[in-house]
Amino acid sequence: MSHKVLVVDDSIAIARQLTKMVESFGEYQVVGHAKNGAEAVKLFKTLSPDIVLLDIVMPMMDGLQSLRTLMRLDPEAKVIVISSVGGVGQKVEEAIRLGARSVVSKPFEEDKVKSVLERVLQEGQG
Amino acid sequence: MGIQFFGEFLIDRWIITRGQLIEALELQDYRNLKFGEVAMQKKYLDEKQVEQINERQKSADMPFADLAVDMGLINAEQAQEILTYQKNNHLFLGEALLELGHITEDILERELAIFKEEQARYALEEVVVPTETQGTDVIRVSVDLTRKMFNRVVGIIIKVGEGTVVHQTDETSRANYHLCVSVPFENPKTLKYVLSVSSDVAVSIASKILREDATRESEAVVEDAVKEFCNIVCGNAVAKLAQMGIQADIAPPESLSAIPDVPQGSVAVVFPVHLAEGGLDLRFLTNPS
Repeated sequence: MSHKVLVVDDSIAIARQLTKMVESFGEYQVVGHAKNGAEAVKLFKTLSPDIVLLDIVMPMMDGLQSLRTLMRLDPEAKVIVISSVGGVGQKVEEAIRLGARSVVSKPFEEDKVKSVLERVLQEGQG
Repeated sequence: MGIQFFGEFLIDRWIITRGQLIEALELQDYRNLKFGEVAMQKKYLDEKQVEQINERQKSADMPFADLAVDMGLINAEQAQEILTYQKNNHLFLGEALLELGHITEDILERELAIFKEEQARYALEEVVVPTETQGTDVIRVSVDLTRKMFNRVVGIIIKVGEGTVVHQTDETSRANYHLCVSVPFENPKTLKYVLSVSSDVAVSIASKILREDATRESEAVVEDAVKEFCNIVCGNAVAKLAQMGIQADIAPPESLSAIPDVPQGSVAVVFPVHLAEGGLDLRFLTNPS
């Protein structure tokens, strides 16, 4: 059974890169792509993804704001934050405090992305 | 991955849990007092003065300590005393985890060694930046990461020459580039990273980001990929600067129609870039120091 992934990023290029990478792992299916936080909340409700890959800096409702909403909707939501500033900075720390399960930094490395996805799913089972 | 935070590295390696990291971050927040908080403890500043400096900091591109001295609220000796106090009493993440009992000393030592080795590929290499401009550290790190990310992400080796200060944009250089992207820094506010690329370089960047040949992709997708590349370069520069103890931040990348004019009162720092095929222009808009 494949795990449903929702990709939230305002960049089409990054969304396509992530979709291709994540689906190449074999056990994941990207079920939706949201270009902003508001769209992310809407798709989260309708698609019930197992994992959300969420860009932290976005127009309209930004990553942190949508993370807050997602965690209110489902406190067990498995959200992995995508960051271009590594794991540093107030925004990333705030995301971890709000309930993000992990951080994936750009540029993406396949094995790291894969291990983060696996770990987050395993944590949910434990 | 790019430049990583030690806490994230430890979670990735199953050494600590997310909850333990949050506890350690909270302990750090509690112990690592801000400059204004130490100044208030020492009664060098009161709450109103700290607010005044914070307000001024929104428009002035200066660290809190320098502003406090500049505004005549404390003297240089007092500022130095506070900075030394902060340095001597800084609680690092590893120390916080040790104190909380979430890691043992030998594991911390082992993990730090592996972390340093992994991050060594991002060690700063030499970049010659003119000293007569603001934001030289940010420029140096951003140029170095442009070079490293072109190599790592795009697979193109670029050589970057010495930066020079120019006061106006050369009209002929504008015609050589297909796409121009800028990343404005929110801190330091006066700085802008500007990368211009020829169409073949733009397609190379897009192909690597999309993980497929981007020759037939729409202009919007290629442009989006170049913007993301610039975002990765500058975002990683912010992370590298944080490791060096320098705070910086960026706004999202913007597309420009061409290499911009140098605004009144500003300068451009231009770096000659050499690559086997295609064209690339790397410059920064900043203020003179």
